[in-house]
Amino acid sequence: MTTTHNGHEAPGAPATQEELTQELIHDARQTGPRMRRALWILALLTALGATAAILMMLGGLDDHTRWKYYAVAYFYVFSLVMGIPMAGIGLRFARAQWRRPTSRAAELFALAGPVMLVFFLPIMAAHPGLEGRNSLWMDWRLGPWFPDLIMLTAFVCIGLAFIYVSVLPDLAAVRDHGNGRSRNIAASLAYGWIGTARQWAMHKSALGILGAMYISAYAMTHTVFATDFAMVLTPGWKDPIFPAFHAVTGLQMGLGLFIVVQFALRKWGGLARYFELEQFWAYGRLLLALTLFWFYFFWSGFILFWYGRLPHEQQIIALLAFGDPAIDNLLARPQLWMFVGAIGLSFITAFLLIMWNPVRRSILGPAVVGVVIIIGNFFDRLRIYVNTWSIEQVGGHELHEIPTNIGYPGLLEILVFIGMLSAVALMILLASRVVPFVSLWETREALLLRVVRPFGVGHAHIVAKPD
Amino acid sequence: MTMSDYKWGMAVDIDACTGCQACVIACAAENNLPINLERDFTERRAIAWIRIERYWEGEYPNVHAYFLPVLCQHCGNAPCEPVCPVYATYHNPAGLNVQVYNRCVGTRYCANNCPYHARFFNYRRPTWPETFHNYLNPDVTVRERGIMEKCTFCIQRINAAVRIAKRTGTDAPDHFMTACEQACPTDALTFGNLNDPNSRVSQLFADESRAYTLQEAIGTEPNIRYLKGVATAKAGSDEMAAAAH
Amino acid sequence: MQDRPVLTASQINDELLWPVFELRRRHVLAFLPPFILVMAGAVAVTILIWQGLWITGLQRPAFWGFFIVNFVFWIGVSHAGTMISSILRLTQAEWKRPITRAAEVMTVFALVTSLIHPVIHAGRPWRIIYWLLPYDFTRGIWPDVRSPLVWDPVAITTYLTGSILFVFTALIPDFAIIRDQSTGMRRTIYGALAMGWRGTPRQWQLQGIFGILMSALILPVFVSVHSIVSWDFAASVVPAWHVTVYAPYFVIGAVHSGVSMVLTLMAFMRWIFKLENFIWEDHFDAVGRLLIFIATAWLFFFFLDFAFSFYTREEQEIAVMERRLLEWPFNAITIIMVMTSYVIPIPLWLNRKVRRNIALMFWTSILVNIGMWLERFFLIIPAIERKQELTFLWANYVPSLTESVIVLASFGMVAMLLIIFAKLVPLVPAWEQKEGQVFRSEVQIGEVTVPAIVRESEEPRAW
Repeated sequence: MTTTHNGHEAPGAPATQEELTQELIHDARQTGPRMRRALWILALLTALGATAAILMMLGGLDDHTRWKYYAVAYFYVFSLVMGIPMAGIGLRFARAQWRRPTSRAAELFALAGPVMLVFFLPIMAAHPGLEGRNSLWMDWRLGPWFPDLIMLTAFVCIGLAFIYVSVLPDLAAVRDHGNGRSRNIAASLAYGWIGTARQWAMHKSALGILGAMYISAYAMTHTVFATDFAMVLTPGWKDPIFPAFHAVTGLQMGLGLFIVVQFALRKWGGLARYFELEQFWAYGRLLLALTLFWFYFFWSGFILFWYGRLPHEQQIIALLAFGDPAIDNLLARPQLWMFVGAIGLSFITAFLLIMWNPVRRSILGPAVVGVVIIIGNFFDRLRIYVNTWSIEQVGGHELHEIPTNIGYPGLLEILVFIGMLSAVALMILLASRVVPFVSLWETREALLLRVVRPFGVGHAHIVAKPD
Repeated sequence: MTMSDYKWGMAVDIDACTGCQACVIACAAENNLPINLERDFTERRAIAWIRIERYWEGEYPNVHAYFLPVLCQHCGNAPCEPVCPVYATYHNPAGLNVQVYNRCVGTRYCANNCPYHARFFNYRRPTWPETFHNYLNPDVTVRERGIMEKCTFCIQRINAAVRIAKRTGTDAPDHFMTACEQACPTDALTFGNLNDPNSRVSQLFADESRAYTLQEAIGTEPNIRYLKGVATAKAGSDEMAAAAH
Repeated sequence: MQDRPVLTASQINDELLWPVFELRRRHVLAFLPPFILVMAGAVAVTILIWQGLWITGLQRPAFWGFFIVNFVFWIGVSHAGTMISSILRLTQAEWKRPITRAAEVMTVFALVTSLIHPVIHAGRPWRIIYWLLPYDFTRGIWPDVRSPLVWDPVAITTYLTGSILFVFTALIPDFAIIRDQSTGMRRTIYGALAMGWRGTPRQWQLQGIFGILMSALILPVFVSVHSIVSWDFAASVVPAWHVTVYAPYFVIGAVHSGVSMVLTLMAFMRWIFKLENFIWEDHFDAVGRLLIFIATAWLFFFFLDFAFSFYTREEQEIAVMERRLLEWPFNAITIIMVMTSYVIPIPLWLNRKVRRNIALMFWTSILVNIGMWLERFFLIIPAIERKQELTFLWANYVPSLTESVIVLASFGMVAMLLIIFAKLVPLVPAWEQKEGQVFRSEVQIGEVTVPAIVRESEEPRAW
């Protein structure tokens, strides 16, 4: 507990600009031996994952059904991490004051972009092509490979540009106040930022433009991925809501992971005063909204397939939700179990927990729900990608048989999965050695904009709203 | 025999159809259809429970006309049924789609959802000239303005035949016809009980090489099958679509 | 900052309550055009019910036409109220205060207007009550809950009830103000409506809790209403209707047209009722910024629907798209729709100067609503004109004069009801305005004075 200048009790927040700078630039970026060890382990796991991916490629690209668990791993990690920066971008557009200490941690996840780009190459090569299939690209010979690669590259570049612009003032702060190797790196990256009014104005509009571009690129990348890597492979599946479902669930699981990350930073990162109850409560509310969206977007598609009773759509329901109706033993329908795991955790369990205000209004509550959602959405990606990548049939207007050759992931696939996650973590931890996990410039701005004044019989927070 | 021992169906032999429209007239006379004036056709509001669709194939002078008699398909899995808010259309135990005129409020949702365009709306109050008043069939309800109607498979004839069969204790009453079938000069239409494996219609249904259903991909499971003697008879519905364009 | 006038409580009362106590010529003049439209509509509806549906342009296969398009449009507009009051209340957007009531009331009137359409559109309107109420108990026949047309009245009446409650509770403090300022009959009536409101802390607390609770509870209804309306189409097997994206697409389109309609309404409120002191350029600015996001989300769903109609390359869908893109008049409609609902307004709104120009905002909001009306026409009609594979029956729908008059009259009806409402209670909630003044503050940052807002919270906040 610290005390603000007019004697009002506020949890945690540093009172002055100097305290803030001191804490974020000096104290929070110490690289201890434990951190050093963690970085090395992550690097090792990343290398193992990359090797496994190469070994898989050497094993052959002809049979796409062999790549189903790689697809699950890739699209799960992609959905998990690439949506997180939206928490920073979207809330900045919404001008939510409480997001200020948390935006940086969210935006750093844009650094996962290059990892996603590298691990995309094998799955792109394994794509069986569009011949005889429905697709968005008509009969274009280069589709889906060329447009999807362009889309992903653009997305990654926008993300990198965004995070660079976002950390620029902090790099300058590290240059001016920091020490050691990170100061040198920051100095070379900060590139003449001295914080003139003109620079700040440009900074603001650049963040606006890049943020809007990031949101559009996020939606479009999810759209082409969901279409080209799941829907296209399934004869008779035409479902325009599915790309939107894919994007929204990406946001939900991203937010889930982000809340868990905040919990970790609070617990082990020594940043408890920045990731306060207020943030958890507000993110909990967002998580509730996104959990409802999970169901809404799922239901919009499902109800129509179920109600329309068209034979080819019944097959899609069987493939993605209920399993082959010809199998009487429910336990023997793998599709059903994946579906139950997905909706049971991502929506039902998560919703039943997060709907209660006492759960939302706690630190542990949203974090637990975040874990539930992360696991639930793993089942969801499993349900989508394993089932669609198991289909051998090419083309036609109807899926004739529900694949039974699901199988289990091998060692290589598991290594790739762990490798991808480690690579993302490695990127973010490395970046956090240069810039702090909490944005210095945003929190300093927050200190400027909020004032506590007497109001009625007590005190009230007053938030300035500059245009 | 009870009602559920019957499952009424019809086979339509496209190869035999000459497009003479006798069935259309017979149906109108039997079922008290309003008289379609020129205005009704230009406004596209004519009511004809059975119609002959005509499709052209080939370029002049090598033109071939197809005739496709379309009537309510009495689907086993009918799209029109669940969308009616007032249960005005429902499935009866003998496999017929039944329209209950008194319940209908005229939302026309069933007509939108019918893939066969087999449902008709009474935009006007049906009227007949004075001289026609004794001509109307007393067994068939005259419909009001503002409700839906469609082919009933001549349910008045079915009911009469079933009643007679019950009274006399005979088996399946396979000896009656719908009006359209009765009028068809080339025997293109064959109506009967599908639950009786010996009926003519059952045997025609069983003809794997020729029988297909209209727009099979929608999964409506119609009680009407079309017969067409071409090598790819099974893919008939696709072929009709191709011919249509 | 420059035009954010600070008013005293009695000034607020005077400026907001004049329409209640006196009748100015402006008010009457504004009433007349919509009234004439409504009268024309009443004549058209009478003829329609007397004569039957043959006087419309409906035929086969286009069994649904202008009425349904207009029904969907007004249901869409009704989404503005909840969007403005409920979502913005939950996100604590302070600028919503002066426009909440107008938006909520427009919601109610748009819903009432839209409800007329399915009734007059039915073949036997006098029997339509069968839809809504179980009938014929003795034979145990109930409405078929499988039908989307049963989900419709359930969703819409729930939404209507919720919206009326929402409006009414927000009106109670204002009823009390009018009661206290009037005498005689008016005092009795408003006294009854105010339900004993004395403004005690407990009453205010209850009113506040109800507002928050209702905001949260009405959100699922808000989403479900237009989803269910969209399922009237999407639950069918008509190829270009049976599209899974319809539910969110309709909802976001509804919000787009509804919030734009609120802009139109705000401009009228400034012009007719001289509410410049309450509805500022800042409000237009804020609504404009909100609309940029809504419109772009709408564009995304439009893109999904559009792109996926070519996805399977099925002949019926291609035929529908041919009708939409190449054939007159739909080629013109498509172009006008895309231009007016996105291409023209959004780039303009990106400019802060435009967002603060009331005339421009007014005209662009009109454009959006033209576009969104045409969007419903674009979505609903071509699909039914090119239904299924039996090309023999494809036909083009041409609306009749009666239908067009009724469509125009529906706009008149909403406007007329709003103007009558404005005579009875202030369109800007006086109590919200006073509360807003209490929460307004200013913060000095360096040399600039920045407008600020007091945040209500039970416990101290760090950030």
